[in-house]
Amino acid sequence: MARVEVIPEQFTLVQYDAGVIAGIIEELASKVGLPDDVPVRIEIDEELPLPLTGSTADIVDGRAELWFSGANFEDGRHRAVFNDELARTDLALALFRAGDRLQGFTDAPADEELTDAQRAAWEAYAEGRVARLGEFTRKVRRQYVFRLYNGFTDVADDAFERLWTADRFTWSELDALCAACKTADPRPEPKQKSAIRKETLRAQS
Amino acid sequence: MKKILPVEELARDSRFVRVQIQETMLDPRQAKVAERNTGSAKLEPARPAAPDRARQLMHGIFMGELQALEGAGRTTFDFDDEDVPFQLKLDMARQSWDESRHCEISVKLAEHMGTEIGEFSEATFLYEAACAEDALLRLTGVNRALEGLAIDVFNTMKEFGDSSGDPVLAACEDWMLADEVTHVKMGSDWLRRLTENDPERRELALEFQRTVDKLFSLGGFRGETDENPIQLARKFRQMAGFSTDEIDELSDVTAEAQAEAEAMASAEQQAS
Repeated sequence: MARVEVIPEQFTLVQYDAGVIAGIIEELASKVGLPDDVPVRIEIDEELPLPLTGSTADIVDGRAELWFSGANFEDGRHRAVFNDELARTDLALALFRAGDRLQGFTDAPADEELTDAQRAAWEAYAEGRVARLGEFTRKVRRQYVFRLYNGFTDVADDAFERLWTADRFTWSELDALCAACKTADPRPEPKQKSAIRKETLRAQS
Repeated sequence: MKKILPVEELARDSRFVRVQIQETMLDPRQAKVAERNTGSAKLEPARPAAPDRARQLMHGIFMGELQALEGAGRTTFDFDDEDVPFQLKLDMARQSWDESRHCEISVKLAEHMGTEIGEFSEATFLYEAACAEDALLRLTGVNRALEGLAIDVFNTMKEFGDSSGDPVLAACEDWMLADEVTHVKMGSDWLRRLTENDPERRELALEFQRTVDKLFSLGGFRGETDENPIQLARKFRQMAGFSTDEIDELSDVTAEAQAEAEAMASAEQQAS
């Protein structure tokens, strides 16, 4: 069995190539240090255009299970066209997060169970590491997302810097950081973000 | 200098890529998304993909400000004193100055949200609507219809800034919103003055406004339900000189635009 499985094998609504995506994942899985015996299965929902981005990264039966909205890889200037740079960032980030689940984050909830704040914090931690691999990253954007869900406060900004520069974090440390941000955040309790995934939508309807 | 500058000649550098609005509307993925129960479309932090929705909208606002600057600037220049009162041209010059500040503010806000200029494609339909040969049509099409849309968009973004606790976004949008109310009021006041003794011409100009309003409701982009990302800002429109009847009529036009877009998407899907 190939290490990387891309679903669908053929895209019909967007100009994406499953072989290209599999190749990028092969390369990045090695760079982020995902163990060789962990296969990767990625499902890409090509029905979702920009700006409907979203993704999950879980470990299921010893396999890295990634789900992505097609919007994550879409070039904002050319409709339905694959953007290699954006895809590499998001895939590396997801692979780091899947790898985290094997070490240090084994007790973390499944991705769809995470709060927006936890999710934003984990992604900040992952993207900081992606930056140190020499890949294209967008720190200001990541910080904006982090602030949106952890507060526009000095405490949140300090927490973001810690996450971005860290190489070894655990789920409990990350969760504690989110709790500290929440204490300093004057906003009312946020509503849980609704999911964009088809499976979740089916379950809700 | 050339008068009535065609859209193809607008100055843009290599960062900008243009797209026809029809391409987006007819994207087969739009119909697929419409089938899904993704809940309220209103822009708020709890929505899925809220950060990217907000960033894309902010980039769209920047492009709109740039084209509004170009449009108001053209109106200042395109008409001679015998065509329109000098005071009207002064108002347009003032609006150009406002729009240039809005461009600068929008660039800063985009940076604040981590967006690069040119990251998203540019639709030029705003400028295209701003190029009518009759100055009166520019007042209704641009100042009342498009600047009216700007009121709705800024108010929505301001509310997003408030609900997300982003003090920078909320303050900047509030600041720009105040200017937009003035721009719409300029349009309302000049429309009444220029057509004081010509009700037929006024009606023609208002008909053009209705067409632009419908076009810019973008098949449900703007409206008064949770299905509409951009909410009709009744209070600010009243401040800008819209009567309650006019706002009700606009609300009907937006609902009509949404129904037509849904029918078109459904037909597209059945055909494919």
